[in-house]
Formats: sequence, structure tokens, C-alpha cells
Amino acid sequence: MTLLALLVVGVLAAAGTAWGLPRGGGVARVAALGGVVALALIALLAALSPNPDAVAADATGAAPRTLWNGAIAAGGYLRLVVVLGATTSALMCALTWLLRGMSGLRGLLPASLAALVGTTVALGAATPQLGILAAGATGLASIPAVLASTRGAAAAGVAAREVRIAVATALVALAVATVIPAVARLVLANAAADVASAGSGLAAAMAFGLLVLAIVVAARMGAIPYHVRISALADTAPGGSLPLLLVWLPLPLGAAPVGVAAGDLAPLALPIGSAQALIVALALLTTVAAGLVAAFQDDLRHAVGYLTLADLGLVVLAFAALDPVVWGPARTWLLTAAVTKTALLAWATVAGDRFETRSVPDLRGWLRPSPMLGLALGLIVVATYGLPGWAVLTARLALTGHAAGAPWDALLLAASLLTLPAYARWLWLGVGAPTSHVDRADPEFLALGGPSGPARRLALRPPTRRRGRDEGLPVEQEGPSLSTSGLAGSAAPTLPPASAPAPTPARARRSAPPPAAVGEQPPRSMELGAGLEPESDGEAADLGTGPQRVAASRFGIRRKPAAQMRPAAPSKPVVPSKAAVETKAAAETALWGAPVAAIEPDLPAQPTLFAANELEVAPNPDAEAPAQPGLGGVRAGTGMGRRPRTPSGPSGSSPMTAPRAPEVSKTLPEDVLAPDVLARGDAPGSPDTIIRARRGRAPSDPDAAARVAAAARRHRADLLSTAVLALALLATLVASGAFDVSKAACEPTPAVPGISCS
Amino acid sequence: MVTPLLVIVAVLAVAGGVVAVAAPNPRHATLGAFAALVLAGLIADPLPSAAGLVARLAGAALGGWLVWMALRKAPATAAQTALGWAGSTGVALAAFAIGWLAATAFAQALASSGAAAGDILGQTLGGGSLVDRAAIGAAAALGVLATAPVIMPRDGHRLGLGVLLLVAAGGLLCAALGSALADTLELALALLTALTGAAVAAVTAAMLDGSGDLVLRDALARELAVHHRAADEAHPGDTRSGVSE
Repeated sequence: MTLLALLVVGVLAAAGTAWGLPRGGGVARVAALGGVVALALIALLAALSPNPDAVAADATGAAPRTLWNGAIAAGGYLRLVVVLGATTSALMCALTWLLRGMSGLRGLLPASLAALVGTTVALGAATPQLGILAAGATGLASIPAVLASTRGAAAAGVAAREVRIAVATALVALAVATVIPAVARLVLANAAADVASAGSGLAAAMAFGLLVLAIVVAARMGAIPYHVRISALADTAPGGSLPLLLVWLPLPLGAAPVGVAAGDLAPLALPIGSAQALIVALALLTTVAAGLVAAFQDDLRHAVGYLTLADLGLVVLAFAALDPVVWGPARTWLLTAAVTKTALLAWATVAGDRFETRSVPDLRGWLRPSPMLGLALGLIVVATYGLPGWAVLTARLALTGHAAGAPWDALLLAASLLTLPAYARWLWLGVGAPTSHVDRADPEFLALGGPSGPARRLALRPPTRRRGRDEGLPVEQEGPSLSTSGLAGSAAPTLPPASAPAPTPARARRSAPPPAAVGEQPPRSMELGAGLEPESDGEAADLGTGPQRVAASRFGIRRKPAAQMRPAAPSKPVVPSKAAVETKAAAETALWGAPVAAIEPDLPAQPTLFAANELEVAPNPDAEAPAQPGLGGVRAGTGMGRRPRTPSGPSGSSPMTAPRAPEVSKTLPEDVLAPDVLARGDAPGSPDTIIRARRGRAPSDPDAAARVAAAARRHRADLLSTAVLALALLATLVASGAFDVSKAACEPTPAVPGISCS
Repeated sequence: MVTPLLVIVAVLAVAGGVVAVAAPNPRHATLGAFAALVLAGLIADPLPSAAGLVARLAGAALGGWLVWMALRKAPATAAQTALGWAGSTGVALAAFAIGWLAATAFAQALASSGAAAGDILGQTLGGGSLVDRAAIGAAAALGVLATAPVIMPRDGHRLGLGVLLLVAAGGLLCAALGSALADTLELALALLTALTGAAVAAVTAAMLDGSGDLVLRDALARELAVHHRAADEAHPGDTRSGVSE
């Protein structure tokens, strides 16, 4: 009953999320929540599903603890795969939600649920044919994952190829799995007549069947020379969907043919060494080429894709071995590779998003602001290769050792380790001097070389000491002479030595404009407020987070496009106008209740987080304007006036000459919120709620989901790194042999009865 | 009486496959694939159970209907196989004959060795059943017909129809060699047919929405081409990119 409940929950949840998520608003939220709950329920039901006493029907015609009289039965491996699949899917959904918002779940969540249903049927099937058919149907879950997030002819082409690879490979495997038992009868019936001697027709037929099975699995895993679709998927599909597309959907079609080879072909002990040699050559080609390409590939997603296919492609060695002994190691390898590569793909997705680049050279120095990601990558490396006694290393040694005799087994083992240089390159790059991409990324709370957790929070407080007349003004000063370094240089002489520490290199880097800002690829969104949208949060990193970002958005401070940035040049200090100083004080009063200098006079100086030549101040046209005393006479040229992007306000006078202060808006401009959020009504309460939530206060709106959403966005970088770290820890556990992975993989199944690893 | 009828049904299924790959009109091609799917579900000896038969027909109908509905904005003509009507028919007939003969040889080997005596395979294919031979012949023909659009696709919709023909061929092979199909296997085949039809419909609709036609564009190749062209235009005198003025 638990299996039936699992299938029903999975099907209903997949259909419900596929229907509800594209509708947006409350329906989408409910669908997403229901989908995640269904993932948890599926994991629970899979864990509780009992092993059957016997698959065959008893005298009463019933097979207890099975579905449809023994057609589908649970097993240890099925339980493990489904529980781990559901767990990683939930983590990937959370990660995708943080990265892309609710829209990112449209394809991923229903596809994950459908994949779990298909995987359950494929791994629990009582016959290889049923398992292969279910594996083929499982592969079709890639279509919503590809098409829901990406539109256009290119995505349709990629989806068409996914249909082909999912169904055509399954049907070829089905044909082989159907023919092989029939031919095996002939072989067994004529064993005495030696009809299956080397070179005979039956031996050739079996060799052909084995080769076709290996090629089918290689093609499904994306092994070379079937790797083009991996690159296409890496370019087209969202990063959060890649683990499902590249790892979990091919898994059932990897496991089922291994059962055919180990259960039907291996006992015949046919002399088909030529086919085995070809399979070894195929595996060698895949591991060597993919490992080398991954090491030299500068596109992070492509490199990770190659690492994935290099590891998954190793499973074809099980066909070369043609020994029932590799039944367990092959399935162990599939599962450990799936979990490990899921963590690796998640790492690559988060790294690409955080540093706004997929270029590996541009990631130089990534370890400094992202130590948790570094720890995760280290764990992934350990989980990939394992330690002595670990399940993953045992499986690797068994696959390479049984596939070929000496010295080819050593060569295979060495080739399978060729993926190591890619990891080493990334880790080595991580300790280098940071690039501008890395420098402007949001640091984790454990970031090295920057403010630590408490220090970072201090850094987010308003500046506390009394500044010089022209220091730290969030204004765009006229003339090319003003820069961040100019500000610092002008302020330093006015400060007493004890309260004006020299800026550290890290601080100087963060306060200076990126060295290669001019001419570089501009960020995806230049709107400061776009930082509220998870997908483009990184662009606002230079402008700080938390209160600073809120303050900036409330005053309409926008980061200038990179093309307009002037390079920093130390030059003579600029004396701002009196009006600008007054305006700044008024702005601080409006935001924090008092001028900054009066709040915390004892704290040391904090470096300015706004590079002055990167900023301009623009008004919020929708803002209501509470009167502020003493702010008349805002002049053009100070940058603090209202620079209308829309026609002038209700009074009809030019906002630039309006004798009023820059207001603290009660509503955020629309461009601050994600268009998707606005269009679909996903906004967690009013914009004011967001402001308060981001400043750490309890919003008046009692919507718990809104609070969770706001908190998640506030700690986005840390949450993303934590999710990747959790996946890496899970991969390490599985690779080490926790959860009895090896034992579960060695269990006989209804489709392959009587097999054992010993 | 039933046996010759089923052999004719097998031939008609192959004819549907020919229409699916050779008809220029995508709607006609869809009808051909639908006919092949429906008729392939009937070819079995012994006949499938009522539940299995209903499941197969329902799966075929659902899959075919979804593909048909996705073609509302489709152009009147699309890329068909380069072999044309005559070439496709000839290839299908040759494959049907090869499948028939291979099944006959296999049946004789089974019968002479007594390997399958007593089981259903021995009683049907080994016993000289024409239906099983026709099923294997039809499976071979549909498989060969599907090879071109699946391996070298020029049209996303036609690729999907090729995959659907492969589903029909797989069902025929299972029915002929795998003895009588259990109801669960029939249900699995029906589900796979319906899901494949849904996937093909989704792909077809996405293609029509994206480009207005059914031409399969290689996303990766196109992006690379654009990338290289942009690089060359940005650095026209740069001989490193292979282009010099």
C-alpha cells in the first residue's frame, strides 16, 4: 500500500504543481508548498515501504506487499534512490527558488515529482521490460524542465532531442532485453552442441546485444561521442534543473540494462571478448576526453557537465565486465555519482550566480568571499574519489578491475582519475587575487578577508564618526576628480589618527570601483533595487546590503552603468556645497532618526560602501514628500535634487527646484521589485513591509510567508552556500557508505532475482 | 480467419508508418503515426486482454490527439524523408520481409532445439504462428522507417513521430518475442505512448511558438556560429580567429 500511496502522491503532486505554478500568485505559492510537502511525503513513504516476502503470487493469486500481484515491489536500493532523490530535489528546489524565485520552480518541481514516480516504477519493476519502459517514460520529465523555463526555438530543439534520447534509447534497450532471453534459451538448449562457441552466430548475436546495451547507456549518460546534448542542456536549461536532467533522469535507464547484462547475459559465459574490448575503449575514450576537456574548459557549466558524464560514463564498464559481481558496484556507483554530481552542479550554479559569470578564469579568488562554497567543493572532491574503505572507492575499483585484466585495469583506474585536474584548477584559482566579478560579489558571513559575521553587521550600520565636509556623500559630484579614493584621501587629513585607520586593501577594493569596470560586460541589471529580486541580487553588492541598500533604494540611488563609470583617480579633494551637506544630514535623519554623527560616535570609521562616481541620485516619482525642515534650495549639480524621469510632480514645478527634501518614500518603485513578483502577485506584503523586513523589524503584515521570503532574500548568499554545503555533506555520507549503500545495491531485485555481489 | 486479418493489420500498420515519414503535410503524417500506433496494439497471438487492449488504444488515441492539437498553427508542408513515398515504401517492405524471414528462422531454431517447448513462445512463434512473424516484420519495418527522422532529424515534429513509431515497434517486438504481454506491460506501453505524444506535442507547440515552423534548429551550433561571427566582427583584422582581411 505504501508503494501505491507513493505513486498516487507523486502523480497528483506532479499534476497539481504543473497546473498551479504557472498561474502565479497564491495558487503558485500553494502549489509550490504542496509540491515540497509531496517530496517529503514521497521520501517518507519510500522509507516505510517494506520488502516483499515473495514477488511471485501465492496460492491465492496475490503477492503481498507488492503492487499488481508482484509487478512492482520495493527494495533497499529503490528506497535509497527515492529518498535521496527526494531529498536532493527538495534542496535543489529551495536553491532554485532563492536563485530565480517562484518562476524557477515551474518546470523543476513537477519534473522532479514525475521523475520520482518513474524511478520508483523502474527500479521496482518485476521484469526488465517494465523497468526499461518506465525508465524511458521517466526521461520525458526533462521536457517540462527544459520548456517551462526557456522559450524559443532553441529550447524546443533541445527538448526534441531529449524526447529522442529518452524514448529511443529505452526502446532500443527494450528490444535487446526482449531478444536476449529468447536467444539465451537457444544457447542453453544447445549447450552440449557448443553452438555458442567463439565466432558462432549466437555468440555474435549476444555480443551485438551487449554492445548495443552499452551504447544505449553511454548515450543516455551523455558519454563521448554522445556528449553534444550535455553542452546544449548546460546552455539552455536553468542551472537548478541540471542535476535532474543530467543525473537523476538517466539513472533508471542506467540501472535497468545493467540488470539485463548481469542477470541474463553474464550467466551464459559466452566468448564475446571483442564486444567487451570495444566497451572498454568507449569507457576509456569518455573518461580521458571528458576529464581533459573539463580541466581546460573555461565555461564552468560545460566543465561540470563533462565531469558529470565522465563519472556517469564509467558505469558502462559494468557491461565490459559481464560478471554478476559488478551488479552491486555498478548500482552503487550510479547512486554515489548521482548525489555527488548533484552537489557539484549546485555548486557551479551558485558560483555562477554569485560571481555573475560562467567563465572559470573570472572566478579567480572565489574562495575568499565564499569559504562555505570552498568547503563544499572540497567535500565534493572527497566524495567523488573517496577514501580507503568507502563505498565509492570500492565501487570504482571493482568496476575498473573487473572490466579488463592487467594492465588495462590500472589504465582504466588512472583514466577515471583524470577528472581531478579540473577540481584542482578551480581550487587553485580560488586562492588567487580576486577578479572584479569576485570582488563585487556578496560575501558569505564567514567570508575571509572581509568583515566577519558580527563585523559585517557593524559595517552595515550607518557611519558613526563625524566626517569631513565632503566625505562619504552619496552624491554624484560634478567633475572627474572625485572618486572613492579621492574621498578617502580628502577625509584622512581631517581625522585624528586613532579614529581614522588606514583602509585595508580589502576595504579599499570594496570601496573602489572595479578595476576593469569600463568596457566590461555590464551587469544584468543596474538598478540598485533589483537587489531585492534574488536573481539579480549580486548587482547591488557594491552598494551594500540590508539598511544601506534600503536607504539607497528609498532615496532612489542607482548604480550607474559601467560605461558611465569614471576610473578612480586620486586628485584634489572636492568641497561639496552646503546644501548637499544639509541634504545628506536630512536624509540620515529621515532614515535613522538622527544625523549619523550623532548616533554612534564611538564606533570607528567605516569605509564608504558607495563609490561616489558610481552613484547618482534619482527621485522616486511615486513618493510622498513629508516636509523636512531646513532643506530648501537644493541646487542642480549637487546630485541631491530630484531628477525626474517622469513628468514633474503634482505641483507642476520642477522637482529639481522644489524646496523640499528628498523624501523617504512609503512605496518602493516598481523597478525595485521583480517584475515577476509584481505581475504574479508574489509580493510578500506591501513594499513597506519589505523595507521593514530587510531592516530587521517585524512587518506589520502578519503573512508568515512574506516574512520568510524577506528573510530568505536578506540572507540569500548564506542560504545558497548552506544548501550547497548540505548537498556536499549528503554526497560525502553516501560516498562513505552510509545508509548501507553497498548492501542495498547488492540486493537482488524482482527483475534480477538470485543475483548477488559475492 | 483471425490470423490472416491480423497479418493484414500488420501490413496496414507499416503503411501508416510510411505515411508518417513520407507525407509532406504534418497532419497527414500525424494520422499515419496514429494509425500505426492503434493497429500495432492489435497484433498479438493470442490477442491481448480486454483491459490491455483498451489501455493501448486509449494511450494511442491520447498521444495522437495531443500531437494533432499541437499542429493548429503548423504550416501546410514540412520536411519529409528524403526517400520520398516510393523509397520509404520500398525500405519498409524490405525490412518487413527481413523481419518475417528472421522470425521464421528463429522459430525453426526454437522448434528444432525444443528450447521453448511448453511455454508460450514455443507454442506461438516456435509453433509457426504467422501473427508473430508478421509482428516481428512490422516491428522491423517501423523501426527502419523511424531511423531516418530519429537519427538525422530535420523537423522536430517528424522526429517525434519517429519516436512514436519506435514505441509501436517496441510493443510489437515485445508481443511477438516476450510471449503474451502482461496487463502491466500493456499499461506501461500505453502510458509511454501517451506521455511521448504529450512530449511531442509540447515540443511541436514550442517550435511553432518560437519560430513559426517545425524546422529543428541546432541550438548549440547556432549559438556558436553567432559567437564566432561576433568575435570576427569585433576583431576583423585578428588572424587568430581564422579570418583576416
